[in-house]
This record gives sequence, C-alpha cells and structure tokens, in this order.
Amino acid sequence: MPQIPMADKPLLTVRNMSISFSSPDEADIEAVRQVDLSLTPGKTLALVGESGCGKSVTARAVLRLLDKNAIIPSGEILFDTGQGAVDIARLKPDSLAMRSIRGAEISMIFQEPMSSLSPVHTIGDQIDEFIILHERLSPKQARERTVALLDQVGVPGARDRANAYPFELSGGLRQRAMIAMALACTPKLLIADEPTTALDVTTQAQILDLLRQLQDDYGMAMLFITHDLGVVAEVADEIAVMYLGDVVEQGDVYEVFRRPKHPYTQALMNSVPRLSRKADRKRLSPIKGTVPSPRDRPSGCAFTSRCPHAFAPCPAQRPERTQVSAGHVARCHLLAHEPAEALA
Amino acid sequence: MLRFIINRLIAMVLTLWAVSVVAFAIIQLPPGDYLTTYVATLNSNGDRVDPSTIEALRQQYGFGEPFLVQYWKWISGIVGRGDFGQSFEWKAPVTTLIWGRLGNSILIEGLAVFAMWTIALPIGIYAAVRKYSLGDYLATIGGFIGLAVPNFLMALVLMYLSFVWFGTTIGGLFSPEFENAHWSLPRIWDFLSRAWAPVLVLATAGTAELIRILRANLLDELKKPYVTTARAKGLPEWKVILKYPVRVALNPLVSTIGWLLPTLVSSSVIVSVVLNLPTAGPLLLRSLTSQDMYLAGALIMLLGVLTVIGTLVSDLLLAWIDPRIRYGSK
Repeated sequence: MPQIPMADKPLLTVRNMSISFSSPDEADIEAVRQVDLSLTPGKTLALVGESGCGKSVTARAVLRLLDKNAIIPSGEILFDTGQGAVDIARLKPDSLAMRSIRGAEISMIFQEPMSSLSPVHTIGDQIDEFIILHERLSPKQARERTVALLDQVGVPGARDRANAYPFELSGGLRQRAMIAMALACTPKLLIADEPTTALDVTTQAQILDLLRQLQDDYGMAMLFITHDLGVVAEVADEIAVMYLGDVVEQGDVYEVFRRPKHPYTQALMNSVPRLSRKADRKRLSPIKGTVPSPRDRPSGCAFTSRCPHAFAPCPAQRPERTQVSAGHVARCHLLAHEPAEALA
Repeated sequence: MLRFIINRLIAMVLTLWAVSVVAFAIIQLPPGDYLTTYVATLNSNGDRVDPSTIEALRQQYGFGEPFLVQYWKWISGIVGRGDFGQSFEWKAPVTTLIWGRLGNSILIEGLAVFAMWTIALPIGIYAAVRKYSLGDYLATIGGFIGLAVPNFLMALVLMYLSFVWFGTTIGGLFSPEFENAHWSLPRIWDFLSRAWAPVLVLATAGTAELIRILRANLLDELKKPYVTTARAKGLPEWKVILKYPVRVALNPLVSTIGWLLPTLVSSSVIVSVVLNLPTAGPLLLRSLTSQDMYLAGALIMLLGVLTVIGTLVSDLLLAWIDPRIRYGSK
C-alpha cells in the first residue's frame, strides 16, 4: 500500500474566502462569508449544515465549478501541488492550470449518481475518458485500468459492467462507479458532496466503508459534505459546522461532539433522535424558527434570530474566531464575553 | 435490434397499405371525374363533344366500376408491375412523369435539410451557451424573421435582389442547355449555381425552428449535474459541451427528421411555382385541380412512402444515439 506519511502540512488551505452571487435584478447575495478551512492528507474534514448554508458552494468553489454569476471577492484557496502552492481562487475556471488540477489532483463525487453520470455514455466510456485525458494512455490501457478500478470499488462483473449504461445499474452500483471515476487518477484530495444522501441506509454504510478503506489505501485528504451527523461520526476526523454561509464552529470531531460550544452546534446535537427505552425517552428539542434568507441575514452573527442566548453584541457585531481548546474554534460572543455578562 | 427493425418494417407495410386506401379514396372524393372536368373545359372553350365518345372513354378508363374494383386494379398494377397507371392529362404513363420530378424534389429538399442542420447546429449551440449575449439576441431575431416570413415572399425578394444586383434570374434548376443532359461536372456546377436559392428559401423556416428547439433543449441540459461532472474531470469547456449536453439535446431533433421530408415537399409547392422548379409539388397541385387521378394518387402514395421511410430512419437514428431507447425495445 502506498502509505503517504501523515504530514501535518496542509494540502489545501482555504483562507478568509467569501462567495457572492450576482443577479441582474437584485443586490448581490453573499452565500459564504470568510470561511477558513484546511485539509491534511489522510484526514477527513466533514462540512456540516442544513440545506442552503453554503456547504456545497464552498466545495464547488475549490474546483471552480460555480455558475458564471458567482464570484470570489476575497480570500484565497491555496493548494499544495508539490511544487509550491497555487491560489485556486485566482485561476480562471476554464484555464489549463485549473483543468489540470481538476480530476487529476482534486476530484469530486456528487450527490445524485443517476443524474451526475451521462445517460447516453457507458460507465466505462466515462471513466476511460478521464484516464486518457490526464494520463495519456491508449484507449485499451485506459479500459484495463477502468475495469481494475471498478473491481476495486466492488462492482461485480466489472468487465461487463463497464459496457453498461448508468440506467442499467442500481443506485449503489452507480455511486460505486462514480467513486471509481473520481479515483481514476489517484487524486490528492477527494471532495464528496453528500455522496450517500440519495442511497438507502444499508448501501450508505457500504459506501462509507468503501470510502474509508480507499482513503487508507491512497492516503488522500477528503472533504466530506453532509447534513447527517451520524455519517459525520462514522467518517470524519474533523468537523466544520456551517450556518447560513458562516463556519460557526470547527475542530476535532470527538471534541466538538463532546463539548459543542456554539449554540447552533448544541442545538443540532439536541435534535438528533436517540434510541432509548420508553421511560428514558425525551422529547426532541427542535431549533425554533426557520433559516432566514441570506438577504435578511443579521450583519453580526447569522444565528442571532434563532439563538436562545442572543444578547447585546450579537445582531450587529460579527463574533471573532475564538479558540476553545487545541484545534477547536468557534465563532460566538458567549465565548469571548464573561458568561455572567452574557446572562445578565 | 434486428427484431426492432423487423417490427418496424411490418408496421411500415401496413401503414403504406392504409395510406394507399386513403389516397385512393381522397382522389375519388370530389364529385365527377377526370372526364367531367375535361368535358367542362372543352365546353367552356366552345367545343362540343359527342356523348357517345365520352361514354366510350368512360368504359375504357373503367370509371363506371365500383370503388373496390378500381382500387384493386390500381394497387395490383403498382405492386405487381410497378405500373402506376396512365396520366389522362399528359397522355403518358405516370411512372415516366414522376421519377424525374420526384428525384429533383428529394435532391432539393435533401440539400435543404442538410443546410438547415449545418446552419442551425452551431448557431443553436452558441445561442444556448452564451445565453442573453448579443449573438443570442441576433440569432433569436434572425430566427423569428425566418419563421415569420412566408417562403414564397422570400423567394420573390431573392429573385428581385439577384436580378438587381447580379443581373441574373434564379428560376429553374438547370440552364436550358443542361435541361435534359446527363449528369456531368458542368451540369452539377450549373445545378449548384441555381439550386442555392431554392435550398436557402426552403431551409430558412426550418433552420429558425431548429435553432429555437436546440437552444431550448440545450438550456435544460446545460444545468444538469452530469455536465458539472464532466467539467470536474478537467475536460476543456468546448469538449464538455459538445460531448455531453449537446449529444443529449439532439434526441428530440433527430426525431423530427421523420416528418421533415414530407413537410418540405408540401410546403415547397408555392416556392416551386414561384421559382419555376421542376419538382413534384407543382405536378401534384396540377393533377389535383384537373382530377388526373392516377397521377395524383401516385404522388400522394409516394409522399406517404417518404414519410414512412423518414420515420423509420429517424427511429433508427434515435435508437443509435440513445441507449435508453435501444435497450427499452428489447
């Protein structure tokens, strides 16, 4: 197994990145504001949050796959290519430099394995193309590699299945094919955008096992996007919780799960149902209210409107990143101010 | 796949049989027959015709017989001997009249279809990919003009302009000296120098329509996740677009090929009259007004054949480009 030493040097560092969407009729919407993330080889960072909080947008920004009306007005996305760092945020989306990173260095698995694969090309064709593009192999060699990959991700009868079209496969097999495709050129970073959301629980567990095992084999870094805390517990080393475009809390997954510091993270934890005996059952406590639209976001902490602890500085002043313990950071005024003052 | 084709062929034969019955019924439908029209024309010119002569002609052509008997004679002639009957008006076998005309029709309209696709594909793709750009608006405006201007008007304008600017008339398909010559390089050149005008005129409306359909289809497909997947592979943008969404967006267009041919034939009648083209359209019109029933029947029948063959071709093309159809037919 090609075991890459667990260097502490980050592979990808996102610093202070914002993403805005412009529209001809309305003011620009800032979908993501000042996000900091870093990914290390062999480790998995889970990006967690509810729909529309900007987690997918953040992931797509790393590959510059956003729509034309999206801009990255500030911040940098530093990717360590091995020969110095490249700032992906400054590359043109369709430039040669960007395209040689896509797929070869950073690749991505998408949520819907049905619609994310072309309906009119065979699985093998779509994977071959990838290998031929980046490694300049002959079509025949590429197909050998494709079959080996499909075999590795657990597609039975890989040689025949390579000639199958996506609609001839089950959801689980399609996602396996998608994973085989993403791994075709042994990327250093794998972005998985809700890869198990469209699958049933059994298949979900298999796919998660597969991803973890492949990560051990290849030693790649993984950015895992999900809204399922159960999945996070299963795969992640680190977690970043997003709410309405802000990373509100991040850190080691055990640390954050055990001692969540941000009220939103705490509320998320409390809304996970637990199996227990009838006598021990407690009512789930939902987070009150609904997510406001990014247009109505308070200029301070985004969670102000729903936070049970909101106090004076929250609506207007954006909380700074506060170190809670080693590698555990949260953005909340409660942490910076004395609790007595907060409760007063 | 073979079974698919065989099924289609059987359905084709049945359809053609139904078309033949309907075609024959339609040409029999107007009151009277060729002889009444003929006598009326003679009378209006002041000629008198002996009723017994007419009766003799009526016997000879078999006009007095019941519908089924007439139909049987006609269809058995076609199937058995390839004999489509006699044209009353031209006093000649229908077969000698129509093949040349029909050949011209298929040639001109085939070229028009070809022109439509070669012009519409790049423009439609451009209009979708650069949505709301200047080029898209120009294509849209051009498309609407192309759709709105009647073919024959366009033909007249083109004739006028080519006379004013180049001093040539663009009627007909061949110069007189090449009219009945065999195909040769100079004849092809002569044909091309004249055929561009009718091809252009016939292709405009279809091109505009194709651009609109392709743009709409492609706009739907461009937003699909598989396009993002292709982009995430690191393919260059033009390759992403041509290999994936364009390929899928073509499906509905390919299925239109089937009825394109017959539509062109029937819509080209007026253009052919205006531009004096020796195609099947004007011949059909003339034969219908004079109740020249065997000629009209043969032409309608052959239009039916064209439609059915066109549909078969587009079905096969569709099965070829879209595996979902190919495997669904198993």
